[in-house]
Amino acid sequence: MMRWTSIGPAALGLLFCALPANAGQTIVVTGVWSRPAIGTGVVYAKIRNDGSAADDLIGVDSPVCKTAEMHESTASMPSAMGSMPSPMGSMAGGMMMGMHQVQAISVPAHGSVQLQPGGYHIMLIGLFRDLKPGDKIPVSLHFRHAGTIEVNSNVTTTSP
Amino acid sequence: MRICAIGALALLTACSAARQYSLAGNAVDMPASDFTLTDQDGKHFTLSQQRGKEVILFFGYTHCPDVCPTTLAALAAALQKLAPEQRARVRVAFVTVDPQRDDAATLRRYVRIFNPTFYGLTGTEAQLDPVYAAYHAWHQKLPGSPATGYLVAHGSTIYFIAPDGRLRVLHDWHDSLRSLTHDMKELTK
Repeated sequence: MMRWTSIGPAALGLLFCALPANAGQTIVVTGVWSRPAIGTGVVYAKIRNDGSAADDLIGVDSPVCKTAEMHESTASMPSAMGSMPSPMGSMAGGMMMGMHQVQAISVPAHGSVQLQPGGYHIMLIGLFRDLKPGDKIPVSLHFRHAGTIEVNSNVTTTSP
Repeated sequence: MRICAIGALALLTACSAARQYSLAGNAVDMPASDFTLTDQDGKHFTLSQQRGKEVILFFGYTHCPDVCPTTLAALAAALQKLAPEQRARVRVAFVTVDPQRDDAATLRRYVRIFNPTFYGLTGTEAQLDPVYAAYHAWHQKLPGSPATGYLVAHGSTIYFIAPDGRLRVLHDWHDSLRSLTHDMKELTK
């Protein structure tokens, strides 16, 4: 009993400390767009954090697809490159572009993160319909602290 | 004096033998390795039968959300910047590195969302492997999530083949629209 009373106020204090990060709209999502797609789609956006605490994008979903995941594209040197001389020159084949799933995308306090081609992106898996230029698709972005932010992604052939 | 004359003659001969291009990308000059694959309509696509057309090749897969759509969208945007008569002389062909999932019908739906004239090429492993090898089209399956299934890491070069069948310039997937458009135009001159 004694223990609870001593921990109680501390926990309450922590709760109040956390409140400013939740209060108001500290996370602002702009420039949300997607490419036309069949089967597998993408969402890019700029996520700005106006708050004084870092936040994380921890999940995404959309009614247009079965599942959405966050991924990061990465470039690596193919192991065969260099060992296989080519008349096309050293850049024949180019960099190997791969990607991997990420569980969270961190948005620093008073900073921003850009989801863009060749970097972080949201992958829409198992699209229920084709995404065509001019479509607007609803996407829910779930943040660790800011909660869920609903946005519409513009499907376009050219990056905005 | 005689050396100068011989030099000038050699230069003239070289000029008349091979077309000179002013290119924004990585210039190369070699015969493009011939192949026959199956296009998005189930028909044969033979590279050597495209003489008189500029052929642009990119290797990727339809489940790719980022690099492949970005590249195909850029090539579609570049193509739109050409005059109609130049545009008619360009063939953009997307060669799958994932024949297991990319059949002709899937490729057809996929390439058509970028441009109705784009080709999507597939084939058997026996047909595709020599093409990958000839163009150094690296690719490797990567584990994905239960939702995505496997992913494929792949090379990111765009190959520009001139109407005479020679591979003339290489671009990287994220080269600027301006440089892609420049070289696309240059090879149809």
